[in-house]
Amino acid sequence: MISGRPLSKRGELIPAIVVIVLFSVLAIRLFDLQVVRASDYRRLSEENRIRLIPVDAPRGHILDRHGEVLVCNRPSYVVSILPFMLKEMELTIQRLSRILNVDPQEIVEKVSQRRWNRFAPVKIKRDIDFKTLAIIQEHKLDLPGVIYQVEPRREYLQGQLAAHLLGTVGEISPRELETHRGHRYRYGSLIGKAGLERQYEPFLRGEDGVQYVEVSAVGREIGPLADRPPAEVKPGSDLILTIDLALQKVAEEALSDTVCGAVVAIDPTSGEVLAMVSRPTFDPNLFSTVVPESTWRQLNEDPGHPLLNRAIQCSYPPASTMKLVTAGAGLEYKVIGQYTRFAPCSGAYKYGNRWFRCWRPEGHGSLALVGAVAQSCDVYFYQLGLKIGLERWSEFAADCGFGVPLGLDLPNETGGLIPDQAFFDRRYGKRKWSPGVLLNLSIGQGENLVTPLQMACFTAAIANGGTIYRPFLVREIRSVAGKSLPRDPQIVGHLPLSADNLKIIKRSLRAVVGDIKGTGRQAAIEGVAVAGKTGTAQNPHGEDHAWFIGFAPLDDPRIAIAVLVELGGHGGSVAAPIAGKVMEAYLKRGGL
Amino acid sequence: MDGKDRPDRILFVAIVLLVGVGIIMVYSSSVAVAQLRYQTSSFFLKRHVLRALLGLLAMLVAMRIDYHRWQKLAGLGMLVSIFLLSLVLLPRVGWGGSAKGLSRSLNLAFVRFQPSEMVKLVLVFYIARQMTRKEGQIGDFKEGLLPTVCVIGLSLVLIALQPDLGTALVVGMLVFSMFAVAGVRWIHLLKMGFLTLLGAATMIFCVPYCRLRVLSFLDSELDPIGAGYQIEQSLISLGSGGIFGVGLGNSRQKLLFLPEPHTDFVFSILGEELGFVGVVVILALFLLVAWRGLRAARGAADRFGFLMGTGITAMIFLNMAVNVAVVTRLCPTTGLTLPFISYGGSSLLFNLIGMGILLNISRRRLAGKASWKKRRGPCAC
Repeated sequence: MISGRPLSKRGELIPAIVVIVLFSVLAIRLFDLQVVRASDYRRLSEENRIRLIPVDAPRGHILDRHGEVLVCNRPSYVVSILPFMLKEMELTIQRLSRILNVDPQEIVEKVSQRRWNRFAPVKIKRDIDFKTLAIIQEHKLDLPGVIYQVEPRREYLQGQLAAHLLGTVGEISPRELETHRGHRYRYGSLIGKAGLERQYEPFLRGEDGVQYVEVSAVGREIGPLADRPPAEVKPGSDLILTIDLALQKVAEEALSDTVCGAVVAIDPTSGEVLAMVSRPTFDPNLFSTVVPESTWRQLNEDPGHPLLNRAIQCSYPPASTMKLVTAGAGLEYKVIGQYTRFAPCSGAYKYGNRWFRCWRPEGHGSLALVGAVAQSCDVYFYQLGLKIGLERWSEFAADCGFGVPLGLDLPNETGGLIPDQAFFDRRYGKRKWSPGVLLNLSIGQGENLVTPLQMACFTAAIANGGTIYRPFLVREIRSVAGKSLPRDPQIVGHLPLSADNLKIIKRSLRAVVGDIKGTGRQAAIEGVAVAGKTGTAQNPHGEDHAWFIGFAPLDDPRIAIAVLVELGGHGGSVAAPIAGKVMEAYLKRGGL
Repeated sequence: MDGKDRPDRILFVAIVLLVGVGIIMVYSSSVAVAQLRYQTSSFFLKRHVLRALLGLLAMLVAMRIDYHRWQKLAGLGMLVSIFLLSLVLLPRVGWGGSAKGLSRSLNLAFVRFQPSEMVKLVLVFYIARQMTRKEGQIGDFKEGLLPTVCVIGLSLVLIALQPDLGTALVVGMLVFSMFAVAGVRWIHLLKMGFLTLLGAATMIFCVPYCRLRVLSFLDSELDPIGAGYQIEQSLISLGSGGIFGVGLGNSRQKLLFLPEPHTDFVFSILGEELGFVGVVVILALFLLVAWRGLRAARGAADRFGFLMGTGITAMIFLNMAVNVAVVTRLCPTTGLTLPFISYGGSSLLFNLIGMGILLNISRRRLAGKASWKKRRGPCAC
């Protein structure tokens, strides 16, 4: 086997078979491409000859409820590179980088990222000033392939005002481009990144137009195609907000720049959000296109987290404002009547072998419901909570709209937390927790967490007689063609309180502000019956958080409000005056 | 050598024709790119003609060298190859290493040189030599195959690490076809094949660039910027050519719609300009080369010649088949050139040297059956 013609069959047959099989496969494939499907591909090749030049659609404006413009567009200049016109690439990019003050490596990256489409302009720097523009114009001959175009740029006319709810826009990221495939986004397209800009992106965006241009052999434009008319730009729709600019300004001023906190004001008859402030804040104009690294770092590393919308994205212990839930549950489950009294408050209450203190060391004495709310007596509510029981209490709180997001038209609303038996079982293990947690819950401490928005909506529901409206910020979407899409109030649910019991709660709220011993006297407005409740949330990490919720006027409520000041101290002295100022400003102008 | 001792003329003519077609196609497909990048339409043409002449010269020289001499060079060649392949992996020496992390060529003084092109040819020598030497032990894996397999495996891994999985796999196919004709047992072939595929699969999973190529092959929209776009444009090129093509020089796609039209994708432009007919003629030329090459191998004076001839033919044909499969979207993008036709110095040069050797092998054939048998070597019964 060693000599002769070795391996005869294998050595000769196998190569021949392999060659013939491969040859046949390739020939069949080519026949399929070039003969069977030739006409399809010829059409595609034809389309290749036609360049599409996109034209950016201007984003819709954002207006307040009276038509004041909050966000609009202004023309700005953007410097771009046409890759196919680029000669002496390195030198040109060097020159351009010096003029624009951009890292040359960044320009190279941008251009090479788009190397497959050499005819589409690559945006290098947006919103350049006239001086730079003049320099580029002057050096035009030294900068082949560099062009400038006009594009609409987002402008937030009021600067930092309402930054969190208006949101920001920015250049679309590769990942967003992937998820929005097929939605007419391109590299360099602007997209809403946060707030209303993001929530209403599909309406605000509009539709980019396209010009069809025939391209010659060397890739230069010959001119528009006669048989393909350009697709017109469709500008984005305008948003008409429920926000009242004047009131928003007042609220922004009332909540000092130096604190962290939030103010939410709602029209209790509809759920329209009249003002929403979160502190600290930022200037959305910074984000309009590409955010400089330094700005990003500054905003992200700021311990105050200015990008966070504290009105909806942060939840806090509600403190004494939660006593309204406990009171309501007590009345509704008939655990108490409005004149029921418990053991008098001596400054603390003993449960098991532990003392639970009242906020007032000297005690409140014996109180009925209205007095207990007005003076915010903890001992009264400890005893009430124990009578209601954990399960009933948490069920009642959930029915009041807590524990789940309310569905405001902004991204990333959090739902807070209303703990129930199952929650404690999960967290500490079955029977490993003391029923004493209920004492903390019934005065709004412990595990339960709410957002300022939830508090405002709860207050609004008490004010309007028990209807919980879904809060909203956009009352109308108006397209350029004049079509409008108004939004009607939506009802989420009803407070589980009978009309009589609601009256008792309202009366006690009035006593908080109106009584000589009430904790919320600083929210009072001359000539208007203001109702409200203070809250001072114990904070293991520092000063107490200050709360105030309220509405006015008592009999015909037109504004409901929640104020939270982180680390502010006493609700009565810190949050109540802010709420008073905002409500007063609104009512003085006659509301709406 | 007597007068009858002539190289295969048909093979020779087929090769020269293919090189000629290559010159025409490189010019036709690179006009727009050259004009754009270098402001002269003949930029690539000039270089390609120079290299083609150099390659043909090398072929003529190789044709006159007794192919047995290569046997002695095989071991040293393998060492040099592995050295060069490792060199490419070193940063700074490898060309383009900084730009994309892909480095397949060395920057020598004034030319760029792709070691993997050389390695293909050297591997053919090496396997032919080893399989000739170990002829008696071929059924025994440990004694007969293992050392050879280790050396080959090392070079495959080095190529794969460049990272150039495509070339590594084609070289792997080349190795297998040589093993198969050399008489390696099927069970051994199967085991080694399984291991190689396992390695390739691992790489596809672990190296993002490989994974992207495979994924974009399965769904061309996945990578619309890179490989997917290229393939899409390649299909448009081929398809729009139709049966008779749009005519030489009339390709629309080469006007920068199809990136790199003169290197890996020259076949697409050829298909667009010359149509199905032109494409079949080119494939037929390759078929001719394969037929005459295998014929020369079969008629070779000894086992070494037979294995060399088969290996060189397989190298050319596999390269061609994979390149055409890529541009017709039958397999993922590999970065392999079309032999003799694509623009690219290293591949042209080494393919033509290979052809020179093949032609030299074909010379022995005409000596007649009697002498053919006599020359089979010392091991006749």
